Amino acid sequence: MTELFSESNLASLPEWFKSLFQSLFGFEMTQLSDPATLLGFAATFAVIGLVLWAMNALALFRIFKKQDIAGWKGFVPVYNRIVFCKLTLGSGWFFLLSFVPVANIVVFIISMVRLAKLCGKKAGAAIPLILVNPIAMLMLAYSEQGKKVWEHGKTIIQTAFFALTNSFMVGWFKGSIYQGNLKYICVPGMNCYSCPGAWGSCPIGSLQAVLNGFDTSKSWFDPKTGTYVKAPLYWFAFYVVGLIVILGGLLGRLICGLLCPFGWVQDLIHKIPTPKLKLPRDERLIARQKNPKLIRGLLTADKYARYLKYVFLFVMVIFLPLFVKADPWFCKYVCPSGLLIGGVPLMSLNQNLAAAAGSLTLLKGIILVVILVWAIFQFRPFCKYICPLGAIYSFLNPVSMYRYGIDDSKCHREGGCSVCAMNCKMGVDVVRTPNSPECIRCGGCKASCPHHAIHSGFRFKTEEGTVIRTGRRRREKFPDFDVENSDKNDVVA
Amino acid sequence: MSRFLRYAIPALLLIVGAGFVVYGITDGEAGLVLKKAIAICMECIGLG
Ligand code: SF4
Ligand code: SF4
Repeated sequence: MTELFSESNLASLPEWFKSLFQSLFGFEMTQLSDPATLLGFAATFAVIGLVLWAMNALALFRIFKKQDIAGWKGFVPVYNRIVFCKLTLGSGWFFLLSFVPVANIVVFIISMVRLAKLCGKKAGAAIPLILVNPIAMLMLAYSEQGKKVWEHGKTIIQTAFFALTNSFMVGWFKGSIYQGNLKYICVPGMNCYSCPGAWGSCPIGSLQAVLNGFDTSKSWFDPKTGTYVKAPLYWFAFYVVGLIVILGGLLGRLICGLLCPFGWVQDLIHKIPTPKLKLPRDERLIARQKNPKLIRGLLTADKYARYLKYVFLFVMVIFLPLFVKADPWFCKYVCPSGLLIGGVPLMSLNQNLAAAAGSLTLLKGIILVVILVWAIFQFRPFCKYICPLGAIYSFLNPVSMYRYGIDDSKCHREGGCSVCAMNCKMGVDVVRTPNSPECIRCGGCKASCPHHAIHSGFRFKTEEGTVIRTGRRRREKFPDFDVENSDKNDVVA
Repeated sequence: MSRFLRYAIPALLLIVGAGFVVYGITDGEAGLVLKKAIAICMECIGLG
């Protein structure tokens, strides 16, 4: 099998095809004659195919259940497409059009518009369904069915996105990394580019790489201090900032909630059943605690500690790489994601790399363990206090295209309901600030609102005359949380 | 926030972002990103 990829056998292939292959996969076709590379190459397609199939099947399972069709039909290949065509287009025979070029695209677009409408959305909601189908289908299928279902949907999306963006199996098989041209592009979350399977670059690592660059022609040796003064090559990282602004401008911190691998890891760890540290945020609840003074102190500490992520951003990601150079400071001394998804797998797969472990590994290992243990007891400590990427997205969150909004005519806050605020593990009161910089769009509040007053999306579908508020509402307009009432009637366990 | 601003601000962000990306590519920043990303970054993964 491996001889198939020898130089002489491949000689007949056109040059453009070979160079396209190399730029896409990062190695020459002849390297497929190495069994590990060949196996990894085949496994890459198997993993991508399997993940896409699973995403589609799980979405269809929920959609069918919502429409009173047996959920298992979503898992049967081909048959699930026939049932889906019947549901959206009225007849299963439309499935045959999927084999006709152009007609299949038209049928796909129409079926997505119909699906959006079936699920009570505007036709415009079909746009994400068409452009990023597997993820948008899952979001549609698992939303508005209660908190538990949404939690499952969220975990499926996070797992699938991680699997897809880290599915370069040659790297996992050989203990190396992907070296193709897709690495020009940054992935949305904290995904180390030295993860063996990563197809894209980490935005924070790339930002530091650009700011770290220095211009040798303008750098000079200062005899007084005996140091080599490095002149920045770039004063501003237009390319990386541009990519972050596009992603954040579209999605805001939905990226943190659904697409970031380190956010996903923290969410998984937080599922370990232990007592959780969750601070009550309203006076009545605080007054009921054993030590209200301590709670108030912790709340103040939490409030100020959240500014730390901006310090990490401005000092370790921008200032030090730009003016002191030498290292990607945040990556080197703080980032736990790099060690977890890059260092640990590479060291276990590659003996030479394992031999290079030393004091830095120990330092980063301690940081990683502390954060992971912390995440068992408190929800997403890294995102709340440390992450510089979360800090950048937090600036974009209030103005991004994807927003949260409150239907004040349905919201029972005036009557004392506070279910959403009590269910928010990031400590946000979504009714007061629907698009708070701290909100990671995890959907917990929306899924738990018993009155369906919280909306999210690029556009909101409402009845005539209903106004969905996306802006802040002033505190004094609300009475205090009615904890007594909420406990009895509204709090979802 | 008015309906106009609700869409105008993110649209402006996307335009500015796209402009930055194009400028960054012409200025060679994208090449620097690729160069860093295709070599194992020892500091990032905590080796040393
Ligand atoms: S805050 Fe950072 S680590 Fe957390 S989810 Fe967002 S990008 Fe990821
Ligand atoms: S406000 Fe809602 S969406 Fe935002 S972090 Fe809290 S629970 Fe999640």
